[in-house]
Amino acid sequence: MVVERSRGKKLVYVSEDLLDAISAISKKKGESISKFVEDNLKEAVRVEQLGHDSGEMVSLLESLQVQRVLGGTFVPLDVLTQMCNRSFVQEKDLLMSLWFDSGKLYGKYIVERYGSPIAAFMNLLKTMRWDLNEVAIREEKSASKFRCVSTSLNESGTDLLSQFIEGAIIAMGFKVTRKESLKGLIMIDFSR
Amino acid sequence: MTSDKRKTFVAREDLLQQLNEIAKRSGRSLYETVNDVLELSIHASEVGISMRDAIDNRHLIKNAKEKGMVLGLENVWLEMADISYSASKEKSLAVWSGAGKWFAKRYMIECTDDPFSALKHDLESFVWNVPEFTISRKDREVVVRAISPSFTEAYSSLFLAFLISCLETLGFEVVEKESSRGSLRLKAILG
Repeated sequence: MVVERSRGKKLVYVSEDLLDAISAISKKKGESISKFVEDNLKEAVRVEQLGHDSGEMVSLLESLQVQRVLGGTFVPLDVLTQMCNRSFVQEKDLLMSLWFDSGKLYGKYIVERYGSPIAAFMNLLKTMRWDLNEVAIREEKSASKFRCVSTSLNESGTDLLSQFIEGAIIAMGFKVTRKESLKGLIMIDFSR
Repeated sequence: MTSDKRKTFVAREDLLQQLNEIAKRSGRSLYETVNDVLELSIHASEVGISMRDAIDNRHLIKNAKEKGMVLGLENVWLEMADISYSASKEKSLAVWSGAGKWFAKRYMIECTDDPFSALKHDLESFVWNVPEFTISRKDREVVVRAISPSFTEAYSSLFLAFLISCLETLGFEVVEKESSRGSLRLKAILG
């Protein structure tokens, strides 16, 4: 809805609340509101031209940011799978507690940083583990039900990942009421 | 987040035209589209990221996925490497070596004009956790160096095996190699 024209610029309607929020951010950054708006409109056009979805990209970058802060690193999936197998046989308890603590670290960080921690954690999980075919949460009256399915996860990999997820859920302030993991399938119920 | 109250704001005409086209394609109004973009930008800014970073990193993630990488926490990864290495050094080295071969094979198939440069570029992006990682090439000679205080002795050996296998798959012959806690180095010549 463009209402006026002047020397390569046009007036556009924007929600008042958004402009107030932009004003606060711009002030903090020490730049003008116009620069913030223009930079972001420009990037939005670029995102569209590249055929991406802006919302999906922000989620993805949020997840990457968490990884960078907490010490995430890229690992070849087949090496991870084989090492899970080998080290699981040797040091099951140690590994289970390592993965649980690692989940707790992610959970604690996410709950401090994001307004919707569970949604942020789901995004993170989808970004860091694309070998998972399905990662979903179903809200029910008394509990939330987490489900994760992977056709490529072996038994030890499933057990370790379930520890990681449980650790994260607990650190985000929830209580795990039921947990079940079978090869390639993790189901965790949790509530406040 | 958005209220019904509206204000007018001056923006570049060409950008608004492009956004108008995007809006039309998605069957939405320009007002809705601009507000969505700004709402997302505010959210991104609040969590300390920018759309520009998002675009730059989108490629990294897509590429890592295609190359068979997943993200894991470094300390867990290092601990697992240590456990499997102490349980069976040969088997662990073989796993990493196999992964290196598989990793490099993809570049041989997909980047036939210059697989080395493509592999170098990707490896340098994927090892963001290593404070110093360089792959330098002068004519037929390649030198790889990695320095990280978090590397255990086992992890250095395993990562070295991965890198050796990558280079050998690309037709290089490794003439020097060394690894120790916190660092590794190798030199290879194109055969």
